[in-house]
Amino acid sequence: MSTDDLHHAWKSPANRPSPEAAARERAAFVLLLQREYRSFRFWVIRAFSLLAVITIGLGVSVASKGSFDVKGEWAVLLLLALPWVGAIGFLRRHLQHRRAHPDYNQSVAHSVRALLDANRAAQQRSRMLLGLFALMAPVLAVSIWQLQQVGKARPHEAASLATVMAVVMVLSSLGVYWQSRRLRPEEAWLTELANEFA
Amino acid sequence: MTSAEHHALFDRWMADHPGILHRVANAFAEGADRSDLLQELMLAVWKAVPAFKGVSKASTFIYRVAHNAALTWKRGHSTYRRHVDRFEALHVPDEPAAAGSDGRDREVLALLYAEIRQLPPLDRSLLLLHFDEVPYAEIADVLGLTETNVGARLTRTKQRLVATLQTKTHSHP
Repeated sequence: MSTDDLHHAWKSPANRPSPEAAARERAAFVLLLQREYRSFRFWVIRAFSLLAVITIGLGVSVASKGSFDVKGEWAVLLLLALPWVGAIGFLRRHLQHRRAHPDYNQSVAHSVRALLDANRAAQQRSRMLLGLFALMAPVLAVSIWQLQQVGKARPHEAASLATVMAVVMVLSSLGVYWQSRRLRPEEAWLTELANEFA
Repeated sequence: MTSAEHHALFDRWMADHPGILHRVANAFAEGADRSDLLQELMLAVWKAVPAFKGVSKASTFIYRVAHNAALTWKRGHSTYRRHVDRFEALHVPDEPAAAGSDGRDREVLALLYAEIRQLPPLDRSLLLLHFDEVPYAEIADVLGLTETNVGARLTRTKQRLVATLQTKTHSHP
């Protein structure tokens, strides 16, 4: 087999999709795009509705037990605000990720190096998020203690709240840690790829 | 760029350059993974449309997007597969049986793509662009290599490829 044979086969119609195959793939792609957008809208509505229900429920529960003393119960506000800050931050990152693409006015080598940098930045963000969880733990403890102090939570209610929140935080931390670990093989593979261009 | 312009430019690229994405998909994946990668390449081109400033030729831009997406594609990490599988289950994708010179070309291409898939990722990209008759200067620009490097790597890779294919075709006539 000579290089001429290879070039001949390469230029032949066999190396191009038939109009039927191209139309089929285009239709599959349109379907994929539609599903992607639909599932994203569903995810946003579901996440923010859930957060709104929890916030309103907790707010009503705290307000119904008497007037709200900001000085004595500030930690509850902080505790309520943190998931919203987290959800909005997550949504922003997700939107940025959806819009993001390599700079195609630059070379592939440049894009590979940019991806490697992005991977390392994502690992750094995960470490920061784990730090934030560590900071939230004392805030949670203080807010539960304050609720008990002002008589808005009985000891067994405070214990239940502490248990639930601790479980949520441990699971969230494990999730972030797992995501961060998944980035490491990708970093090694991108480093190898970037070295090929060196 | 409006949504209509985005759609129109994407459709025109797909019509004017129907083979680029197919060849890249063939060189980087096979079987079900190939469908997965092809959808990923189309998605990458779709997302890249607004970034096209017309500085380079459309084909160069598509090469850059496609090779970029293929080189950094993570096999099996995509959720597109199940969408594609579901779609393909509803449609019959059989190609008509090939005969004559078309059949011979298909055989050569099957062997060639199988060998290309065995190469390191960067060499695959180099060979694809070379077979598509992209000039060295443009290959260097797309991949971010020097022209000398492109020439040297291509010569080595082509020699190895032809030798391997000759060995295989002689041992399996």
